[in-house]
Amino acid sequence: MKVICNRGALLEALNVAGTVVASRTPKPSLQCVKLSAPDKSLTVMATDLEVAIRYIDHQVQIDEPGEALVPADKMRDIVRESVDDTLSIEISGDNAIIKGQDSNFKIFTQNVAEFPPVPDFEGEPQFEIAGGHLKQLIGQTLFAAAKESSRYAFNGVLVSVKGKKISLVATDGRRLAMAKGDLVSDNSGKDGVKAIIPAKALTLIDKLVDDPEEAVGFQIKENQILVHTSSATLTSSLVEGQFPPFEDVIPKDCDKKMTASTADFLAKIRLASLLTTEESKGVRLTFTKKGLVLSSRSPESGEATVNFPCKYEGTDVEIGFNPTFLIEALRVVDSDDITLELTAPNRPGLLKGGPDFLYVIMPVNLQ
Amino acid sequence: MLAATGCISIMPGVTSTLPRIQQLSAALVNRIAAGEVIERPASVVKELVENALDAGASSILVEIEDGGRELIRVTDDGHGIPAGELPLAFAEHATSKIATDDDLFNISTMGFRGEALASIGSVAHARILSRTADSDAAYEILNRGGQIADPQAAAGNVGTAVEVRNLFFNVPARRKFMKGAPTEFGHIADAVLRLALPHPGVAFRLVNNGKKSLDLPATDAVSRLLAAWPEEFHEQRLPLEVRDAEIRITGIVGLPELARPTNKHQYLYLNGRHIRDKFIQHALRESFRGLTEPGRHPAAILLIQIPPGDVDVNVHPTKIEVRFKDSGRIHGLVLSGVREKLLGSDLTPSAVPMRADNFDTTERADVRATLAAFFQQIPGDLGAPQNPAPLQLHAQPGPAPSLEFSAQQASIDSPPTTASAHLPSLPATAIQLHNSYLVTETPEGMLIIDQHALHERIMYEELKARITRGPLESQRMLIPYTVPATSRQVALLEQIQPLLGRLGIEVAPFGPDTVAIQAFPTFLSKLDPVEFMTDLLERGEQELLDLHDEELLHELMDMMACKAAVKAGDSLTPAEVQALIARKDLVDRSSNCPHGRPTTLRLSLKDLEKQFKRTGF
Repeated sequence: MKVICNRGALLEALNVAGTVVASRTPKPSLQCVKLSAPDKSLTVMATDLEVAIRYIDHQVQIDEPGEALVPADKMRDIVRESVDDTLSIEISGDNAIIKGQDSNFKIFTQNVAEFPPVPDFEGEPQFEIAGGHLKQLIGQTLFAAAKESSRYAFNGVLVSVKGKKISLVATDGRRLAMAKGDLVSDNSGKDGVKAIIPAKALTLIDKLVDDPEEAVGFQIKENQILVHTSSATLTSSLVEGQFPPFEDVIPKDCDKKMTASTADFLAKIRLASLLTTEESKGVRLTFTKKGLVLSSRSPESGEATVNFPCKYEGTDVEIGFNPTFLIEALRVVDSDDITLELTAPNRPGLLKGGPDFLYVIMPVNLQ
Repeated sequence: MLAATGCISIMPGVTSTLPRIQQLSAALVNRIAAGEVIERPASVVKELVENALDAGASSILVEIEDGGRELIRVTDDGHGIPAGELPLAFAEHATSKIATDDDLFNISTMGFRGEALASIGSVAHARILSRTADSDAAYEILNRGGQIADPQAAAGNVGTAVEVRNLFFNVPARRKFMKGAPTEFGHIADAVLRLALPHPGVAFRLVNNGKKSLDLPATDAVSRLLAAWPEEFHEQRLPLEVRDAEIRITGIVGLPELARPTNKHQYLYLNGRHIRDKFIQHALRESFRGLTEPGRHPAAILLIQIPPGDVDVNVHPTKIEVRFKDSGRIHGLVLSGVREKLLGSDLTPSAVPMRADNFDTTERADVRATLAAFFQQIPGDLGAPQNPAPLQLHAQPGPAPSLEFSAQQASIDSPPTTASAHLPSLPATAIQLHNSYLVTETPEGMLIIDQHALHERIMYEELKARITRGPLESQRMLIPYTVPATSRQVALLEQIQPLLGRLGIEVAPFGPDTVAIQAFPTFLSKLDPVEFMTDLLERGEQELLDLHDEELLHELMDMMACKAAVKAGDSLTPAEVQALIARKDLVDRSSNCPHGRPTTLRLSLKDLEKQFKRTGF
């Protein structure tokens, strides 16, 4: 194999692939990227056996087709630190020779046959969504997923597709975020599809998409999801397990409602949360006809009171929330105003930002 | 039915030789009474030494032969017994210590029942030799198992010597039950020590088969008390003095480190009399709660002074048990006094076991003995020592050579710094070793800290302070965690529900064999609630069901603190290390984790110098 690459494009390919390469593995082959140059383009492949990626670099000149398994970090370091516009990569025996104008590297390669197969996107996508819209939906839900929960389904985001509509739902058991959107195309049939996609895969998908206009294609198979963008294909195993019946926890009988500017509410919550600590996380929200008073108290640091005049309908109520949970949600709301609906101090609150985003948050029992 | 058949089978035998009720002879009465008071040679020693103390002795010599079987002789320099009263000394219920009813309820002497000498006299060959200060001569009187001779003039010093031979010669059952001489002597030595502790002004000597076994010269109170403890304990003690209007408790308590599986280092005294009291033992254990490992008994010597009228010592013939008018008050005073002392003190144990010093001492004695033996064999000037005896003495195990003794004396006189109430100010730097231990410099040396144990204690104390202000802050669950539970575990949960509520945990039954966690404390947000609850249920089934609320709360908070604390193996940033060490001084009982294990060891410059042999021997 012998190829001449645009250094910038190659670095991009290696960076994307590098996020998948297993950092700790007893198999040296998994610490490598696979380079494949069949005809006109160079494909960079990486996998950690859960997520796999194929990134296609078109800015290459193939002098001699072939493939090789190259240590990912060494390869990326060389490409990053070089200053030339182009680099040539030549495989000779067990060595990869990377040449710039004034530099010449020989790095040892691994046996290509040891690399697991990386699936490619074949056939028509089940559904497609505009890149920018997908990124928004991921941003509005992914943060609410659990990080390392023993309830595995909580470590992913539930994606449901039906009737050219898509919804993403994530929860860690304490709060739940749900965002809805429209698809560009939907061939999933009348029953639609549902799958829990691991948080890691969604983070990568978010990174892969850079053109808001391009249509991102999806295929959901038995235990696998394939996502196709113009430059890459990502494959991931799905999270097995049952996603909780989230519709049941969305409150439907709220008789109290605050309406406020998203930015103002966010600013006040941030202000009121300054004195909270690891042990005393809660902020007290006291709603009256005059609006909202936020207060917090921690034995270690002191007390804070913040007034927030806003529109409130309903009887007076006092409820505690973990301010981080509110802040994270308010940051991803894309409407100017939000509503916060409540029933009782020990029942969940319902935050809505526009017609397509809702967020359920469970209160904190304050001391 | 059973009882009836039993009667039938016994009846014939009983009817055939029906015993007649008769008045027992005085001698037999005394022998029966002796059974209560005189159990073994040590009881004789105790009674006689108590008499000597009551006689105002300033020096008491106890001589034993063959474990007390052959001879028990107690010689004092007290006020003596006038010749005319000597015959009464062996009479039952004859005493000089009380005279009226009122006296019985205001007992300030060790004895008062007038039983001891009579009892001893009835089961042994006893001889009293006594001389009062204003008498020209001493008089002696003999009692052979109840046959009392007339007093005879004899030679003797002022004071009284009581000699007991052939103990239990007429009570074969007792004689048979006596153990070997070493065992009996052990009991005697214990008895003498127990009597000596609260009387520092009286010199005590105990001689066994002609060899000195205990030599306690008159000294100050604390030095005398320390005689009860092994030498390695001496530095690790706290002086204690608490009082209310009428009760005064003094003594010494050992650092938590000294707690042992048995209570053999615990001595309780009431108005100078050694007692056993479950209430006070309990108060002591409680005051060390969380500082010692479970099942260990703190070392402590408590001298309780209480108005004689507030206690009934006439409950038990040997007076080992007493009845307090207000036992709750004593309990409270011991508990609060010891607890406060512990809270106000630096309880950090030393990293170098004190035993190392002892070992050195004996080793050096060995070395000296060997050297001496070596020199003895060398002919010439060195080879003919004028007086080899002192060298022999050095070589013997047992009493420390005089050099060590004086050094030890000095250390007793000046209260050791480790046990004083001043807390060392911790410096700013500390390093983490093996992601488990923190080492920090102090003016006196260094501290080695177990990061998990210390953090656990800090979390525990903070939790404790927090729950006094109300239930812990807790995050409610949108989708409750479910945990499988047996019906027994569900019952446990129901029982401890109110406590869990205070700790911010809400659990409710959720279908068959399952419970749901509805709320979980925010400060444990890093923990997996399911894992925590599973642990709780498993432990609960085995250990928690029978606990009182207080103990249960302690256990639960302990579990939380343990799980929330940094673990051994967690790498800490320098800022975290600083914060952890800074908080050490802010919480109570920081020297031990809630399980009682130490959090901190001290390695002083002195210890280091010793270990590196920078200081000579």
